[in-house]
Amino acid sequence: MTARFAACPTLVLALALVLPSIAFAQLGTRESTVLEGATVWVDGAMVENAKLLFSGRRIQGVGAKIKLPDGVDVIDLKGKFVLPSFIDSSALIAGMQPARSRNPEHLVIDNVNLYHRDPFQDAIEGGVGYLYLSGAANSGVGARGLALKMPGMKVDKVADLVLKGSESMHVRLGTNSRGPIARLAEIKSFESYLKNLKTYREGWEKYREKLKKYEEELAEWAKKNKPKSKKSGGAKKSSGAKSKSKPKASPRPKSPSPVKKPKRSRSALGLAGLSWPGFGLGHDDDDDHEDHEDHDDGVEVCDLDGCTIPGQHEIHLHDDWVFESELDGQDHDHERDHLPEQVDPGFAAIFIDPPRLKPELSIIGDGTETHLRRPLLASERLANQKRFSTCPHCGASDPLAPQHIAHTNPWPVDEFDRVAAELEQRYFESYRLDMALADPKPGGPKKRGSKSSSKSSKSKKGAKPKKPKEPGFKPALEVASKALDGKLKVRIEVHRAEDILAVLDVLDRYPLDAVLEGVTEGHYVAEAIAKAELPVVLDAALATPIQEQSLGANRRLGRLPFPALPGSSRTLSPSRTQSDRGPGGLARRGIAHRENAARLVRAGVTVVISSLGAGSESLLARAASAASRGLSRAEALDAITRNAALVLGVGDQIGEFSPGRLASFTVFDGDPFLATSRVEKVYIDGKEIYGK
Amino acid sequence: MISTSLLPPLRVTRIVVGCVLATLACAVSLSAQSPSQKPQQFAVRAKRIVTGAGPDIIDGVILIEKGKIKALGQKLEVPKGWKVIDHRDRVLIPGMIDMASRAGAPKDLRESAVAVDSRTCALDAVALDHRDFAMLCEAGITAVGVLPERRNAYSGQGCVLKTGSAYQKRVVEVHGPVMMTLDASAYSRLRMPASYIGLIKLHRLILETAKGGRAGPSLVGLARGKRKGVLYARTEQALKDSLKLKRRFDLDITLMAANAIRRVVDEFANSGMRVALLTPTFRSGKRRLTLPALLEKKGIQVVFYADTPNLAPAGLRLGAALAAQNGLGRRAALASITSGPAEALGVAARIGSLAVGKDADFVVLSADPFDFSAAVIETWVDGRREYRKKPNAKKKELAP
Repeated sequence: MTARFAACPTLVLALALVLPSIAFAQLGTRESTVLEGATVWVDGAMVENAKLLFSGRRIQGVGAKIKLPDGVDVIDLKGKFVLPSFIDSSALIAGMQPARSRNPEHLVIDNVNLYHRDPFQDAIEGGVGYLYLSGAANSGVGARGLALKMPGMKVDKVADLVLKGSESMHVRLGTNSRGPIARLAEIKSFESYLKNLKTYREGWEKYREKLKKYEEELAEWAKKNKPKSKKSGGAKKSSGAKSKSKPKASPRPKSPSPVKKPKRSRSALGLAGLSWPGFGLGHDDDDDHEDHEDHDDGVEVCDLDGCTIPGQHEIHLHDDWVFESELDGQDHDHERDHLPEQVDPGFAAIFIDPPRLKPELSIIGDGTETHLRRPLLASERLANQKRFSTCPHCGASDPLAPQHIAHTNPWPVDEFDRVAAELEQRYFESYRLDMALADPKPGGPKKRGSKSSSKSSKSKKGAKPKKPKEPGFKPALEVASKALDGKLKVRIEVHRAEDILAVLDVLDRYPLDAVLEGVTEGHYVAEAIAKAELPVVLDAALATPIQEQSLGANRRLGRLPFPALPGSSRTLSPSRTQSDRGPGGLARRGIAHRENAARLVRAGVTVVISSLGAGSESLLARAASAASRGLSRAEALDAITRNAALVLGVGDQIGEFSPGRLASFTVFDGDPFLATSRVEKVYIDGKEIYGK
Repeated sequence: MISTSLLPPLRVTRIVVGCVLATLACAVSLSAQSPSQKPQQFAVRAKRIVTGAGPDIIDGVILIEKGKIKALGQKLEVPKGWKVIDHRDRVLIPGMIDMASRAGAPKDLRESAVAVDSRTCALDAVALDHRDFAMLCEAGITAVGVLPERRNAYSGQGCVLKTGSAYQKRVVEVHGPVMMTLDASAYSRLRMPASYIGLIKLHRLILETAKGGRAGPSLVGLARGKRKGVLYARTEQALKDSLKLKRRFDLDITLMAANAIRRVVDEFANSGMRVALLTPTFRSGKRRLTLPALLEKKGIQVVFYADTPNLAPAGLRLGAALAAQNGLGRRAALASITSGPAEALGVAARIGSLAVGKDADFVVLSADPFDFSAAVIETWVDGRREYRKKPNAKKKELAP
């Protein structure tokens, strides 16, 4: 052991960092532990009288003949069987609500109650060390699922149990619809979902490209225009007259900072979290920064979001803040709809209601209007929430009482008035100039944001380059679109042969890191699945060969039974699983075959056996019963250990015994395939979490 | 036609029709794996013979003559000229019995016109040449009980049938157990009895009358303890009442669908009542899985039924194994699918265990019966090999 540690001091360091207490114990006399005398599952075979050496969380060596370091802690397990901890690749902890979410942004882990011990205990007693919690919805796209390791006696938070990299998105197809057409539609809608993801992703990619180009152009433009004026603000002011299309060019809100990736809070929370530097109303950070530096008056711009009273600070107004305002936009589209269709082009108004402290300011003109917003004040927030009782400072019971506003309001009402007035003045100026320069179309006022004008401004030489429009940020699509480039695995639950083929077809066009789940009729299309190199997660349920009933079901469903495969025998007759009783069961699941798992394995598919949400404690029995139906014992064990780990993306961590992997194993008091054998001990990450 | 063909055919036409049917049945159901020309006398050797009647025999031999077990033991001389079938690395167990099946009876087993129906025979609904029987052999089931459905206080008599292809020798017992019901399904507003108390009264009345000999033969046999009965009782109250009936009339009955027994299990301790449970599956909850072990602890005999072919035939042995995993003793688990059902159906003298003079119904398994990975290799019914697993070409077997 010492020699090994000397050879890899980094390992010691890592252990010391990750698990200080354990590492500390290892540096003492007992550094590592060895299991002796047991029959151990190594490399797809049961090796009798083998040793398993582990230290801390990791396995150091395994086999019949391994060299033991000095001072090793020996556990004698003569006559026992040691297997890697089983992995239930699709579980539902008993008592846990199914996810029922259709949003891949949601993570199933939030549904886990660690204080509900029994389901975990049941799974542990079945030798299961890792559970993948499914996030499948009733149909279509569901939440994200992930794998947990079994909790020991004391766990502080669920996040400690998560197997990193095991997370995947869930899609369920053809399970919840009645007829064949509806099932077809489900698969089509899955494809269009993928198409949406692609469009969304491409939209952002294009935007980033454009933004880059825009930045370059802007820099060039700034260089060209620099000698004319020192201050960029001043330059803008003077050029304001020239850029006639300004108000029309950007009636819609502008993008946030180009360098920063947009955060969720911006779109979802609107203005609540936005900073308001110097009354600049969320102006681009870069520009602000520039302005700060260029301000030769030495006037400091203050951030009003921090609720500091401006005092002697001058409130700085950007010349173009009306038009560059990013603040609302789509959210306020509906407000725009309330405006009269025909607005007098000469009319502009600013609506401010200081006594009621409406944090909104609207400018209407030329059929366009711009909303400005400052952050909500604390008092306003309270008023909105309607939770205000009595202020502990002033004793006001109304959040809008003047004395309360006086001490809570960092925003002097007078200032707002003054700014509004100034704004109004400027707006009129620029607007009139625009009107003078523009070539008004005969027959009425211009439509807002008309394309021709924006194009003409774009083509105009020397004009300030226009910032590209940011595509909307959608958290669910953002998460799900990771699946497109394989950063997020996709579990697709699909049962019937024709559905499987349709999914394979979709996956041909959208190469995802996909895993098929369910696959009741996989025996019909095993070769196709193998060719697509998709792993499958089965529940390996028993099937009853009742030809008549299945044929009857086929007639009901209006489809012909699949022809028997070449070389098939009576055992290949259509059948159904026990779980398919009840109305619609067979229609959803299709025709099961008791040698489904075996057929898929023979075709070369990576097969994983799971409980599919029906009791993890019988996982080994499930796999073993598949072994009685055509699989070998080795293949059956692989299906709940090595293959399962591979499918979860943690194949290098768990699933088999080899040096470097986590020391997670189960000790059985007899042949694990025997019903009369019991689990004696369970170790997860080198720690005993269960023992009789 | 079919049921009468069991009787010795007297007319030539009957013989002809019988032969045609036999050929058809053989051709349809077992053309691929027709049983080899069955020798009248042969021996089967196995690594372990689980007899179900006594201790297991290691490296045992069974001698079979004319479909019956002639002898079995560890060191047995095989007479000269007898064929020896060698299963040295395999385990031999008695043929399994599903005591409540619908094999061969895809049509309704429901007859609910009158409350007391002692003459209805489930056998009349069974198509003896149905392919279900051949299919059951694949799961190692060699006999089934087919019972009439519970719709009335007494719904008639069940029958006991062998599986396999030889439909002429299918019937083990025409007059099987009598079906009784203490359940809401047996009373209705449409005919008497109309309520639970009426049902109880009817049961007492019928059994008293039958004890005096004034009823159909099946009910008389039941009331005098000579016929077996199967009683559906779901609620706690019905379970308690069934115990009262059993004690008062000394009935030999098996309770079915008695999952509620967990709550009144102490009253049933050592009462001699048999309890038949639907075989648990992977999806069963912990309570259902541990119930057999609890019953065993209280001295109540447990029997499993699988409702084949509605449910998977392989589920019978699997269910017993799952119960064993959850605490049911090995011996009790084996009995629950072999000798237990035979006793409940009243045919224990012929089938259910391996002993001299009994039918040569047995199953060859690749491993222990309660090894989840054990597969059925061969199924023998009346000394005929009715199922044989095809060897798996690419299978690499793990050394145990």
